Amino acid sequence: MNYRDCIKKYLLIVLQALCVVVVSACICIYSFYSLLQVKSLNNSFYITHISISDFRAEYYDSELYTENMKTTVYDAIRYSVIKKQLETDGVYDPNKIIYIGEYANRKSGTEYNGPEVGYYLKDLIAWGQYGISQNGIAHSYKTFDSWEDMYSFFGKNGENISDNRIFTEAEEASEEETIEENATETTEEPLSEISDTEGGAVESEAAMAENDETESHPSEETEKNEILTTGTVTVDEGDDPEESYSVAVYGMTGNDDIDGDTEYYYASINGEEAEITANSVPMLDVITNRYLTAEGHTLEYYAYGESDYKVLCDALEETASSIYSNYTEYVAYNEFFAPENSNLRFFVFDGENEYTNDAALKDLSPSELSEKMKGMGEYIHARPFQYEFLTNTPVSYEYVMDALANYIYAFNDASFLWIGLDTTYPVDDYYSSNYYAVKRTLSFLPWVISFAAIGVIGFVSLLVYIISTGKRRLSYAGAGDDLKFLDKLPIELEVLTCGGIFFILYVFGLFLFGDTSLSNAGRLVNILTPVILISFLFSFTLLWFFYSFLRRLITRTIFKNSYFVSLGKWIYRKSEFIQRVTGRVYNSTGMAVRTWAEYIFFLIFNTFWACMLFFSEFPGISFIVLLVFDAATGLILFNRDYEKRRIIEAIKMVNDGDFDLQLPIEKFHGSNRELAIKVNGISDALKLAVETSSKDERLKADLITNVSHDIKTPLTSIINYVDLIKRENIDNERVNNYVRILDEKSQRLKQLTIDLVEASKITSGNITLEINRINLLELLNQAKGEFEDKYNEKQLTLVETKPDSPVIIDADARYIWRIVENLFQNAYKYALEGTRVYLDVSVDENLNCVTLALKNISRQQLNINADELTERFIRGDLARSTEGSGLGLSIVKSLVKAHNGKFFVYLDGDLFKATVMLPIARKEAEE
Amino acid sequence: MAKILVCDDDREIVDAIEIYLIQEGFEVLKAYDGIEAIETLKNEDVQLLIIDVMMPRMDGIHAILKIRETMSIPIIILSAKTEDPDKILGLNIGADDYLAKPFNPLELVARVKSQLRRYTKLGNAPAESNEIYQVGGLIIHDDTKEVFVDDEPVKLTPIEYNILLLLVKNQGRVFSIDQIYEMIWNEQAIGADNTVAVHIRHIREKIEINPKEPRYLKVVWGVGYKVDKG
Repeated sequence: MNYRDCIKKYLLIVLQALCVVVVSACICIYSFYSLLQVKSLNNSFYITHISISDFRAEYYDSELYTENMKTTVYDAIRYSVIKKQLETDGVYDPNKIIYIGEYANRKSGTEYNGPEVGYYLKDLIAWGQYGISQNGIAHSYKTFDSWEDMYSFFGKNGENISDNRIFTEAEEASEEETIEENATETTEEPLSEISDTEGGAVESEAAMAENDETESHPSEETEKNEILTTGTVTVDEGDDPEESYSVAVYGMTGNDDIDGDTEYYYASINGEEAEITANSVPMLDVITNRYLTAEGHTLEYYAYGESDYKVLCDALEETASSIYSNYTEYVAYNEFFAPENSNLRFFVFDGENEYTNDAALKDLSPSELSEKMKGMGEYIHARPFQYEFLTNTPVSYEYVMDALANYIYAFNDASFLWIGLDTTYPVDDYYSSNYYAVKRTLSFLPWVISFAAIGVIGFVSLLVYIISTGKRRLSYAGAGDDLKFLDKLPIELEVLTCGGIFFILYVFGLFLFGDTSLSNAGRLVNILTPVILISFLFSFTLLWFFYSFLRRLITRTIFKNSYFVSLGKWIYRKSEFIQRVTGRVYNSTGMAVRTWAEYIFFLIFNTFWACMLFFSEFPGISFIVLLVFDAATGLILFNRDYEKRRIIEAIKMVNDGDFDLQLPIEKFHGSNRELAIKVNGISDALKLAVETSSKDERLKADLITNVSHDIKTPLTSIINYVDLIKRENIDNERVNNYVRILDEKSQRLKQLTIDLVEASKITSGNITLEINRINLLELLNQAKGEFEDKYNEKQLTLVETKPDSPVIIDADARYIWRIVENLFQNAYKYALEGTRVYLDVSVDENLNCVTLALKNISRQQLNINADELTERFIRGDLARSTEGSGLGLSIVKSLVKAHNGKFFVYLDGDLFKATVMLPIARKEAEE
Repeated sequence: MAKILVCDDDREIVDAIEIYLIQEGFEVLKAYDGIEAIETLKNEDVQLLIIDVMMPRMDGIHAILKIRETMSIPIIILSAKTEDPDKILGLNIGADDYLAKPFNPLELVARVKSQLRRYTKLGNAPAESNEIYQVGGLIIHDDTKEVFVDDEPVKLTPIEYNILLLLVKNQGRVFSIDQIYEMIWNEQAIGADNTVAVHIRHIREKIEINPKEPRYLKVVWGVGYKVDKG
């Protein structure tokens, strides 16, 4: 690769990195301009974001605008409700009296009829500001000298209350509790039943009576831990004792059994127990009132008893904190909605009063109001309880109803609301800023998107171009030629380098950005410059390594020089010794260990699932698992055994001489496969051996045949010309004698070649038998006929012993004849003249064979052993006798063997005995 | 006299055969391969062909196939190949006789004569009568009790004659020793043992050119004797 290519290549990568820069810059610009800082209540700012989908339309169609409007609707309603709480005739009134019981109960939907206490608004706000219950500032435990003291603490104690109030009070109190826990904002309602305050009695009067009794007769108590208060009894009569809100005073008499004299009493308020340590000294959680009620009393003045007092305390705390938070909101809203700060106008009518942020609106008639609002541009009109809803904003009727839902107590059926937004934006508020922001962003968004698209397209096309040209060049140049230094590094080093560079870039990026972020960048350029720089460096580095990796991938050299791979190879080499050792251990113990491991696994698995079957919640699953697993195990065992059986059968077949057998290896598994492979190997080896040996035999036979052919042709001439010489009637006796010798020897040579061919053919098994059913005795008779004259010529007497019935054998008659002929010939040639030749034929029923034995006295001394007589041909030890080839017995032996018979030669001195055993044909086949 | 073509690539063998045949009064033509043999046969009026199998240029088998396309003269194969398949092949493609090397010259001459007689005279064989039986070159005149093999009279003893007649009359049928004995001697065949076999061998020696490879009276080993259908 020359310099130009190199430069071109780096230029391409730089170009690609620039594409990335363009894209990231576009994203940066978009992000920067889509961020909005919105001024909200209390002069706080919050960051909002123009989502990318909003850029399709203008501001009034955007989600941002919908959200803005929803917030406005909610704010307007809430502002109205707070105004209602804090204002009198449209003006903030610090001396407004808030009735705490009513206020705390405002959301319950039921009428409050407990004791009523009124506070000045300013007092509540002050109280709420500094806190009541926090850090226990305003709380304390007040100790009383006696129970009577405690009762006298409450101002209304002793006043009569009606019986039926006891129960309702109990229930209401409980409800009140839950409400008080949840509600934070409350609205003071004009209290209509102030007169009832006096009737705010509590059921505990009755309880107190009981307590008195308890108190007066502590010694009479015999039961321990007995609940003594009737407060509890009262509640028990109620429907739901669990939710009871009552005072229970527990008395516990110290008695003989425990602790001696000390008696503990607990004054329990609202279920919380307060321990009173002193004997019979009551104690109470009280609020220290810094601010007095509008009437100038403290809270306990209004209470009938502990329970009442507690309710009032909670109501006071609740009201104070709620009013205070509402007040702060009120102040914020006042500024936010002030006509000089906002383009919004709202007009809310709750059925009694009108609330608006523009006093001018109050003077307008309903039709004028409607016109005015619609004229502003964007408007919402809702008359919620009459299903009247009118708007050109995206806000829905459902949302308005949702916003109203929390304050439903403050509105009646006649209420309605108007909200209008002046789209000419005379003042600068967040609507106007959002409007302009969206407008501005929309104006350049197409450019940003186009540039980003160009960047992406450029990047992708460069990627494709670089990869395709690079790949082509790599495949032309041949792997490795075109690789750079980086590509030849071990992969681990390359990855590390890459990571290191990235880390440096990251640190550099941190330094570059400092604490600049999108929201505090101020000017676009402050954020854009570092983004461009960092994105360029990052993408360039990334691409550089990416292409290097790709080159490695294409040339398949990813793991070339890799440390891990080298290490692995090194370990592999080093571990050969370990492998040998472990292999030996495995081999010696492998079978047993494996079997046991399998068996134990089987047991554990089965036991586990069997337990699951009996004890788990899903016996069905365990049943199926067990079924499948056990069936599979059974199948595996069966298969293993089946494979073993096949192997055994195969071994049997090989043993019986079927060397072509090959087991299909892929159908065997585990150790059986190993076994099958070995069996195949044995079969192959045997087959090869047998083939080689029979091939050798055939080659030998062929050789002998061919050689004998070549011998026969000259022999023909010799025999013929010797014969011609004989016919010349030569007088010379010596010459005649020579000719006679020539004649004899040439005849013998002729016989020898014929026998040689035949013997080689037969001993090499190169013959085919034509099996027929023949009578051996008949054949022997025929043979005798053939040899009669010859035997007579040598005065040999044939003495035969034979069975009366025919001896039937299945054999090739020609070859049986050759056997018999050879034996007879043998006797004719070698028997001593004038002796007897014995032919014995006997049938052995047990062995199912016929034995044919021919015995004669040898004419010459037999200085040769029996094996040599029959294996001359095999031994290549050709006849040394003067007559015959000496191959006769060899041929006999081979032929008998071919007929599944046996042939023995027995020599004892001059006695020569040849025995042939042949299987006789099956009797049943005979019939 | 008849012209005989002798074809062998071994010149000495051809010369030896020529000597024997000339002694017997035949006219001999010589060829040393198949092509020469075919050429000679085209040009000369040859009555009999003696041909070797293994020869250069064209071997005996191909030559015979070629010759048999046009001619029906007797052909005797003379070959060093002595295996059965070789003999069967030779006879199947049209040879009339097969003689293995090394051969007995007298046997060759006998076979030549036999083939010539059959070729030249069988055409006008005596008319079939009840008294005359013929199997190939073997003719039995039952009225005169005369037996001819290739027109040569053969002298048989009465028992031999009866056995041969029995077998010839029932050509193709195999007679066991006992059956023959009972039919000829009219006695129960007890201890007949080898009498029949000896007679059969004597007959063979008289009517066959080579008694070990009989053409007419064949031994069915282990079963009996028969005369094939001529």
